Amino acid sequence: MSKPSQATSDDTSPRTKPTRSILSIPPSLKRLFDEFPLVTYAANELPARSVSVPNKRDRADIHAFYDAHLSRRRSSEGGGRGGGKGQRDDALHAFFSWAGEGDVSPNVASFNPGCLRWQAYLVSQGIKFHVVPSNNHASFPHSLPLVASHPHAGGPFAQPIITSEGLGKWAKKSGEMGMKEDAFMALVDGPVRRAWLFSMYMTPNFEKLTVPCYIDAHTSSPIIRLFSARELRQAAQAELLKYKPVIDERAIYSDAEDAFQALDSYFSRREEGTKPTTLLDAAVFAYTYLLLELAEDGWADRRLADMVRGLEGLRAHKEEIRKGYFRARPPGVWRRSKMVDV
Amino acid sequence: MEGPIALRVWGKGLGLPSVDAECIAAITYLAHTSESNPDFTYTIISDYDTDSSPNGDFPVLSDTFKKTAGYGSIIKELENVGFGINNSLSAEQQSELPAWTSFIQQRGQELLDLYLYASYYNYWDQMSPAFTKILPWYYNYIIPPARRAAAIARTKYLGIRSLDIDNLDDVPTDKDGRISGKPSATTTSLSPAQSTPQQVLDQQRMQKWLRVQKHSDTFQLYQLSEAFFRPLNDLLGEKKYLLNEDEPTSLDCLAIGYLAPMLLAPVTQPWLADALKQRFPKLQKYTARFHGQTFGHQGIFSKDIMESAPSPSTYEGIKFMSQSISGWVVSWKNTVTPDPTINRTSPSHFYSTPFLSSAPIQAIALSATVIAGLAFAASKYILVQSGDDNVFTHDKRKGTVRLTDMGEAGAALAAFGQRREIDAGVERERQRTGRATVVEVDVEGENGDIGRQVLVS
Repeated sequence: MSKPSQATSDDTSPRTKPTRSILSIPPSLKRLFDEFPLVTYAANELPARSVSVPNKRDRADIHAFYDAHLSRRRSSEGGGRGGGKGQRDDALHAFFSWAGEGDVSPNVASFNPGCLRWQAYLVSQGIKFHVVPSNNHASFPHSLPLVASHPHAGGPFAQPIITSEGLGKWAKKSGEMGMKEDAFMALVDGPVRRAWLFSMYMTPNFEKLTVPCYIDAHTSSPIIRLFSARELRQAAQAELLKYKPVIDERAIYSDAEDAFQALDSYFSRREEGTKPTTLLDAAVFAYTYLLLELAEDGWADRRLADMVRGLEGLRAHKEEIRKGYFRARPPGVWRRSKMVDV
Repeated sequence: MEGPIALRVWGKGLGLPSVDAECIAAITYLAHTSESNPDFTYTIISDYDTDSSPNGDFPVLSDTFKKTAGYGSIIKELENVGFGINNSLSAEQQSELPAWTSFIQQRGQELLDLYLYASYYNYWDQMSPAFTKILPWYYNYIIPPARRAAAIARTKYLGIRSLDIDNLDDVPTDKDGRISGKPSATTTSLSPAQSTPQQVLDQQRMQKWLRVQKHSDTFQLYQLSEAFFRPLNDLLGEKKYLLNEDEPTSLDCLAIGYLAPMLLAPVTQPWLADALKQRFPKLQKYTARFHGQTFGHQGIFSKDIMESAPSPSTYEGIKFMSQSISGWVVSWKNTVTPDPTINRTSPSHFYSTPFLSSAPIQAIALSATVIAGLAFAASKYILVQSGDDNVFTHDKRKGTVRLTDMGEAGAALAAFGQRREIDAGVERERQRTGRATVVEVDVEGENGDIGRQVLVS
């Protein structure tokens, strides 16, 4: 082995400093990274069947609920369709929605009106599903509800995953909604939704009702709860700010009052025999059920609930759906904190 | 209502009494109200300062004591004092009125957002100059971009992307073919002879994407316009007005507020006006007639009641600019206007954006990142400039990096490697000659460091 001092004399090339700019990577690191090339894996497929089917007892409950529901409908319709006798026991669609742990049965209402709307609509159409408690970040379109269809469960769902847009398209295709119902849907999606967002996220209702439902089920660390709650409220505020640059509380409640009164007179004027199974009925039921089901002292800010409580037509509409079409039970979180008259 | 009634709206533009749809609706409503109630007097002020508005936007109806913002609230307020034009409606129509109002506002606003704000050419060619004419110079940097951003945020969920860049030839691409944003003067259409093969490939890929995107967007825009115009067309039927045969109602005024810009605004890409003219001629005739009836030559709207707000002083301009700049750092603006009719025991009953919101945390994180980046850049600069042999210098002596260059761990690894070399050398010598001796020599290297060389013989 030659001495190191002799090594330089063998090196005849002139020793030049390589020109490099400020932004170039140091050469030693570059060589290190050349040794270890990064590997990019292919994208994963959608987890179509990663949902666990509920256990036998829950399944039995779900099927009993649907059989009772369908037999009620059949007896009122006088005939109607068969209950799918050849179906497998565990062939149930999966409905990802905002629900508490253990609320697997479809008759436990979700505390989110967007999910509850579709839950009520699917039940009133007789489609069998079980509820998977989930949250926004777990679903790929980042918004719930989501339906993962079971291939043997019958029903109109052909694709493996259906988002809420797909559900909307399906409802419109099979729909019985006319022009007037479209206009009233704009009421529900506009003033009623804005008033709900304000009442549940911008008032003390937020700590009392919204945070236990949305945040506390997913984490028990107080720091994460704090930051998640903050983010949730800022997201709701940003949603409200999309409408106008400043949130006007008086205008929001005044528009909501007009909207509820218009819906009230619409439902009162409707003929007696029409069945409340349209998407508009389900959407209005979602809001009225959640506003009326809680006891009066369960609310920290009662303004919106009192508004609905004073309207007879909406109360009758909610009771009609609850008795005949969707025997909903309050969300688990509300029942456990004894805020509901069970 | 006490005192003189004033309606504050955004100024005139696009050939219409106001650049904002809801303002046009409010002006129309007041014009028809004063026509049927002669003792109703009002003035219209074209304003630009929205600080005093409860919802941060115009129209605002103000008297001496109260301010009311929003079309629906304005109508309610006027009906409370007995001025209105909805008296001839039946009870059923009265109950449907909020539904149709909400329908027009929601869907019409969406279409106008896409037509006038999200659409690149329409915004920069027509809307932005229209705002320049009615706003003071310093507001012009704040308000139109804010309105455009809000419009884009509202319509983002529709996923219509090709409105913002329309002309295939002018679209610039990055190296990897992504659309980099607005067309720029430097990237006009490249002829194949001038561009490299990679650029031609990128352009073709991007043109294909754009074509597919334009197809889906055209279809979606068709659906959207159909969903808005068709129900209105059916509601109008053969009547003279939307709800009534003889008289306009508040719904007609609101409809004109949205339909008039759609039909009459002189934009570069009038896809919505074309849709209205080709597919819904009945609605187009109704719009033209009602607009002419209100704002035309013999219209009931007398232009001389419109005055403009006093032009701002320099002091106000400077104050506004400094407030906006400080508003970027710390958001201090109130985002919620409380309801003045409710007595609140605790002042913080609702949540508005508090004084020190998450902006300071973001500011601290951002400044820390910036400082770290500057420190890194500075250290690199110093290293490059000083040019001394240090840990980043490529060592041309050996042609490989010495493990001792990498610090203590490297030295440990070097020692381990040397150990293995020595053992291997000993083995070789032993095999060759039967015995081996190991000699360690202290050697002074080029850098002046003392190293230990091990010779096996």
